[in-house]
Amino acid sequence: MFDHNRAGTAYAFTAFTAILPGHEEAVRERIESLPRGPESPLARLDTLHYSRLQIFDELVYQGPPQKKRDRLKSSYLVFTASLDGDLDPFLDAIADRLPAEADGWWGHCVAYPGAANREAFKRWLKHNQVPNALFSSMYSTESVQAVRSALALRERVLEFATAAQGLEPAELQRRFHTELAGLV
Amino acid sequence: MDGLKQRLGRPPALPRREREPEAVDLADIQGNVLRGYTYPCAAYIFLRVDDVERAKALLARMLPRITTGEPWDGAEPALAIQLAFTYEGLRRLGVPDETLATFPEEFRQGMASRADILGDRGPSAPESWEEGLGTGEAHALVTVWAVDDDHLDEIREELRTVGAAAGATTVVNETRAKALASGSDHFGFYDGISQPAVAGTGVKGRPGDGRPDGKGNWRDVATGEFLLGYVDEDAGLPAAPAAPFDRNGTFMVYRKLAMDVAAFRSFVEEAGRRYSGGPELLAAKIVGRWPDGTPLALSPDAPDPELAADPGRTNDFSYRDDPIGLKCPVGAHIRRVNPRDADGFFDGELTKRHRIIRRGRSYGEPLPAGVTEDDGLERGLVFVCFNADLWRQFETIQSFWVEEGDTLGIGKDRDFLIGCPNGGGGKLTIPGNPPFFLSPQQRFVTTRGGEYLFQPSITALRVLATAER
Repeated sequence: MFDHNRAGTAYAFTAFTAILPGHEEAVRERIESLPRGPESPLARLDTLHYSRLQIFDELVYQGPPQKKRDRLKSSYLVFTASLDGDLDPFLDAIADRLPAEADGWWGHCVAYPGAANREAFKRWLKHNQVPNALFSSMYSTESVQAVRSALALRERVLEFATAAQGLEPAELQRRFHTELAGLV
Repeated sequence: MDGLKQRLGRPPALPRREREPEAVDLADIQGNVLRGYTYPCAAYIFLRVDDVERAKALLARMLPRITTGEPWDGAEPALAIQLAFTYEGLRRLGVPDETLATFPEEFRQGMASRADILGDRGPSAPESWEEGLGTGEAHALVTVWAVDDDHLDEIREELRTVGAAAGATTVVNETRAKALASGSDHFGFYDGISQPAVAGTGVKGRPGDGRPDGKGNWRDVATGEFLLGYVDEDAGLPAAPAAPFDRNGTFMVYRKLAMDVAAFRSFVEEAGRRYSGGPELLAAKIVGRWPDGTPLALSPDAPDPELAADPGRTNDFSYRDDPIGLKCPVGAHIRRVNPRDADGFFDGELTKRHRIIRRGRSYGEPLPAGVTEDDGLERGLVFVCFNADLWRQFETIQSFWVEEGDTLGIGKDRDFLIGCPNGGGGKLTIPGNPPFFLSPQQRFVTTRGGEYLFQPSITALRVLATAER
């Protein structure tokens, strides 16, 4: 059966978790204070391509006038991730590598069992998982590690090409063999 | 009036745009948002508000002289005056806290605190800026445009003496700008060709000015991308501060950019010797146009004076047939700052919300032709632009398209002409067989100072001048 959450070897995980009444500001502050880039706790997940934590306060409607406006019963913390392989090892990795941080943001949500209780933690996230209507992955067949090493290779080749510009053929060949040996 | 028209110095290659019925309240907006003045002389005068009540009296006195967007119909005034305020300026003038809080964060923070994402590092860092800029002292910017320096001197003297005598304001920074006779910038390139065509303004856009419609034609960019209170490209009203600042006003970017002409010329001369196309083509590849304005996208091998002189053609081009940049490099300056319908931008769907109206002007005397030794004189461009959203428009262009290359598929390369050099690295790839790598990147442009401003409607100016504290 077609899996809407999968594109190639990449998997997309989305969970909507209801925020406890009165905890909206606390979870917002928690998310905003997270370090970005390599310092982000999410950077400890080596199968994670891309992730986003955001808060849905209300439904925004931009169409023609409606008789009845849909409203959320509470604010939601929305976690999305695009990852390599399967969901289970990914959720295990969250519990292993960033339990305190995960408790920090999901702890403000309804019925959160805590990362220490691993099976309950995974069950809770899967219970709140929603299927993705449309998932496309920039790297649907390449792992995070493969993308990283391809980028590093690109840098080396570019550096070589820039430095070797204008060399005589013999010298160019010599430097190619010494500097890029084993790469190509 | 004929004599005056001549002195306005409109370049022959850029005749006036045609008029059409307008949907914008031209009498309530300040004139330079939708109209590019061709006055040769301009002064950018930053004022500090010393005494609020007196400053408001000065503002009330200036009000009738602020140039609006109404058509001149042949009666061009000898000078034009525009007025804009920094966040600190609005606060000093007594705008209530609850109104101030409705202004966007980047405006409240100011340009200096955005230095990191704007690439204002090293010699461009705010610590090295000119006195009075980026320090919270600049409260209002009076821009005066005139047919000659005498007219400028007059109004400037008035501002200084009246402002100071009444203890109302003090001039904290000032730059005199003057269009170069050639119509070019200091690097020698014809400037100001491309501007977004704005819907509803009563001015017909030239081909290439609007946004690509995906079918090979152009359509006007929605009014709300540049003026608050009008529908934008997202078909809603742009986010705007509270009344009276919610309509007919716009956000203004002021950046004084020093240009190292000697460094640019020497670099082009030196690297041009190693480049098979020679120095002229090399410089054109960095910019994306030949010095006369001919776009590389239309004429990649040589400038085409006939094309450059035809306003119907000189901006009418696309990057769709040149995905890897064989004609115009992906990293060329004009392709970066307005990628049009380039690969990855979905027929312009992803560029249409990142356009700006540019109103820059050169300052300083030109370095004589052929000279490659620095004469130690200060010269450059007063970069001014208008947009409805500083972050989505100006800052996105500057931080993602100029100071980074990832969105364009060229890694961490920065704009080779105006970008901030990246340590010892940085390069421009000129695609070809073989490609040519320009490296390392040098600094040709240094930020001397800047401010984010809000240019209110005439209505809002009146409220500012009269409101009780």
